Amino acid sequence: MLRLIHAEFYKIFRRPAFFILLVTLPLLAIALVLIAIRGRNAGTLTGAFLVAPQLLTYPAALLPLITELTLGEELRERTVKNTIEYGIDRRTYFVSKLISTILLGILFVILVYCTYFATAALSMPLGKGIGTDLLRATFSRVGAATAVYAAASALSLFLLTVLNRSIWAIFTYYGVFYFTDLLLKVFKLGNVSKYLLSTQVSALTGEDQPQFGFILAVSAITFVVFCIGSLIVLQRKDLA
Amino acid sequence: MEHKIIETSKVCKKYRDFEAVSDLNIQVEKGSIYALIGQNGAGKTTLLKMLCGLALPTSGEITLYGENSPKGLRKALARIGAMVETPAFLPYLSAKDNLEYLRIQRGSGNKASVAEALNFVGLNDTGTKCFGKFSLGMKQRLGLALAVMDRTELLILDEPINGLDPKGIKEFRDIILRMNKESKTTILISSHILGELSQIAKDYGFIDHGKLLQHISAAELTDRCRSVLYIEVDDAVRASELLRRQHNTIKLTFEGNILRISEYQEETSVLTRELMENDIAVSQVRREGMGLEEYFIHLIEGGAANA
Repeated sequence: MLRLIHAEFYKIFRRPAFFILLVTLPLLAIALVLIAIRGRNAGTLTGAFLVAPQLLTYPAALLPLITELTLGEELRERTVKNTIEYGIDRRTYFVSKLISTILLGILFVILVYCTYFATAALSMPLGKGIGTDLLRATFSRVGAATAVYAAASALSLFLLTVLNRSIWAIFTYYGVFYFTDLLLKVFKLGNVSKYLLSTQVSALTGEDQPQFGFILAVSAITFVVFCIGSLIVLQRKDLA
Repeated sequence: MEHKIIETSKVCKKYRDFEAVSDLNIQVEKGSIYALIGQNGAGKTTLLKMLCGLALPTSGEITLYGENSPKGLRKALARIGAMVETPAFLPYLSAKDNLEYLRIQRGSGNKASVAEALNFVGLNDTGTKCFGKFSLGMKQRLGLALAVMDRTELLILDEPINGLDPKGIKEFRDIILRMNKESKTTILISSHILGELSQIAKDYGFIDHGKLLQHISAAELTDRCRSVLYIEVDDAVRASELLRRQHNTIKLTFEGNILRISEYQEETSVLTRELMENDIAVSQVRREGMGLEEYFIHLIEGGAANA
């Protein structure tokens, strides 16, 4: 497993798209700080902490790009056969892709947050209210968002294994992630929408105190369901 | 113990209503170069995919190195190098980076094994050129480099000489023969270029509509395809007695005045001179025989029994 993850990062660190993301995402974080400085509620570092959860929408939105780096291109270029024909278990292969996706997402989150807070710290006055409570509140949300992100990774990888084509998987992911809520309301099933991943992201970025237990439970169930689904599909799939 | 490296028993592969492979039994022995011959859609690639774990049989059993459990098969696959269909690599990586990526993933060999594999197939000077910019021949070579990188004991190659120029085909043939001779690598190969296969194969499996029509050794095939000599004489009885007396190993029959000689060591001119020196008039001499292509066509058209 570790070998597969090591190889994954060997590959990703040579991928031009990875470096584009590596540059673009911190720039977006800096842009957010600049907007905050110029805005009406011209920021203090305290303000930056309060705005920080908004950044949690990034990873889920970027997931199809990240899963494209890990599993998508392997399916598209049919290079997955090079791994399977060596006798590497398909389950091990999938789990390595899942872990790599999550690690890559965490790497981007760390990068974005470091850039964001560093820029904010350098360009904003400290403000009132900076303390352990604010730090705990902010990073509890970031921690819970990691669980949502892991569940969304499982969803994105599941769509790739089912649909094969990255482009279809990307569109379907955005459709499922952002429009299921709307669809449920149309069919008068609005009460089900509280179990959606997009609802959990909204809860984490909102002003109200999120229900962390519920968010973690929904994320865990979604994660398990889509992982099992992906493994079943991948086990039966003809490759190459 | 591992005399038979590959053994399939009644292997079937169905895609909805289409049966790509049907009750197929093949056996490949250690040290052999086994040529799988069949038309497009005969089921060759499907069979090779199943052997490599890329496709799962609908029914039947595959045994590799005596292993037929899922775990055992995966273990056996680590001893096999394969190139099924067009070689697939990451387009933005160089030949070296592509192999290094897979070497890390497989946990096999050391960094030097990548360079050795590239050197073996003549791709050691491609530098940072991306796989996406490779010619078809270079792609085929890189596929072969991956297949040989782990010093595999069995090579499974599907149409490996597609896209190679004549020089590349010769080099490829030399590589295959060298691996078989020096490293005792067993090779299972499919190709449309039958003339090329006939230069390397030790065993043949003819496959059509997903079924194995015939398994035959190269020696048997040569025997069956060997040219037959027809000599028209004025006295076939006396001529046959004479030739049998002079040549112990000759295989000879006659019908009317025509001698049919299927096994002979001598030049045609020697035989005809002997006949004429014994006052047997020779009015016509002709030779008929079959190449691998003709044999294959004859076979799939139902002529196996007469081959």
